[in-house]
Amino acid sequence: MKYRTGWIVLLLLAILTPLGIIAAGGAWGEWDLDGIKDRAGFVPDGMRGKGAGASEPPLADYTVPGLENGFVHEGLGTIIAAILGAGVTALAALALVRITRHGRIS
Amino acid sequence: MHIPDGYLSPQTAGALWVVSAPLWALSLRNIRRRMSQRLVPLLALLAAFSFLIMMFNIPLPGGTTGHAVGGVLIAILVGPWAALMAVTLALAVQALLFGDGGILALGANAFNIGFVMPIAGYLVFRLLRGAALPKDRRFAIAAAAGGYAGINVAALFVAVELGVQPFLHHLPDGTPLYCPFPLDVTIPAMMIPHCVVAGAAEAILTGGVIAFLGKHHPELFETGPGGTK
Repeated sequence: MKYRTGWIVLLLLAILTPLGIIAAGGAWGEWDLDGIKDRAGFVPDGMRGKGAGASEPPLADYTVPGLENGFVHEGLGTIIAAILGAGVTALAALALVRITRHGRIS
Repeated sequence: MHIPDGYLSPQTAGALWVVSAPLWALSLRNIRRRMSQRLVPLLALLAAFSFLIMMFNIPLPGGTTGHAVGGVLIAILVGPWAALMAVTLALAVQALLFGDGGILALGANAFNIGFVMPIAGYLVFRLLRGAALPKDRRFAIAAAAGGYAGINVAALFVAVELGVQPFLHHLPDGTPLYCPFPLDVTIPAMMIPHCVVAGAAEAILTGGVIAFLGKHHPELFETGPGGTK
């Protein structure tokens, strides 16, 4: 496999991702509607029904259903989400380049 | 840095889709015409790398968290146009599978994180690099400075896009309809933590990886757009 060392580094990064969820608090300006209400004192009309979490994605907040409770479960879920997300991203890049260049995936 | 849905008005989010669409087209054209086949698996690897590195949240001053992106690192290795595609795909997967960043806001996020950051950081890198070779210390320092500049310029774009919402869209009595914070709140809230911590993280990541690759894998830089030939 080309760039084998690079892929091994990515796998190590994926295994380490539970470290990335230890930091307390979320990003500025990425709050859900409750977070907005806490900070602004009200929920703007245009944000209702559209705030983060309105349409539940399959693995919201990088958690895997059934693996949400306790640090071990949550960490395992995060690693699964990391490997899945990184894998899908890499495959999407390969597919897109092939389509761009050859008009087909294979 | 990932703007969720609801923070930007549909008009702003739509306008940034309109801005990003031709940039994606240029990115694909650049990949089709200019990128060597050798670099294609590297592009996929770097897209996945960007996805992963954004999962490492670090505490920022003010009680929030942030993360590095890797956008400038990718731009140095495969060029800013290919970096746009790599980061856009990572952002799309984050939005669609994990709810990190909005779907309506994907045009905005791709513009800020995928286009503005790599291109700004890459320009700073090229400016400071001079004639330095990948193994030179100056090459890595230029890369670190590019990373620092890139993430901060992107953070400024995010702050401005959020901060103009109360001016652009409000009820007759002045109540904001979308992001309720004006520029004098959004700019310091975004820029202070990014200038102090997130920018440093991006600089260390970019400079560190480029220093390592420049020393041990100089062949990566031979024909790439950061090319030394």
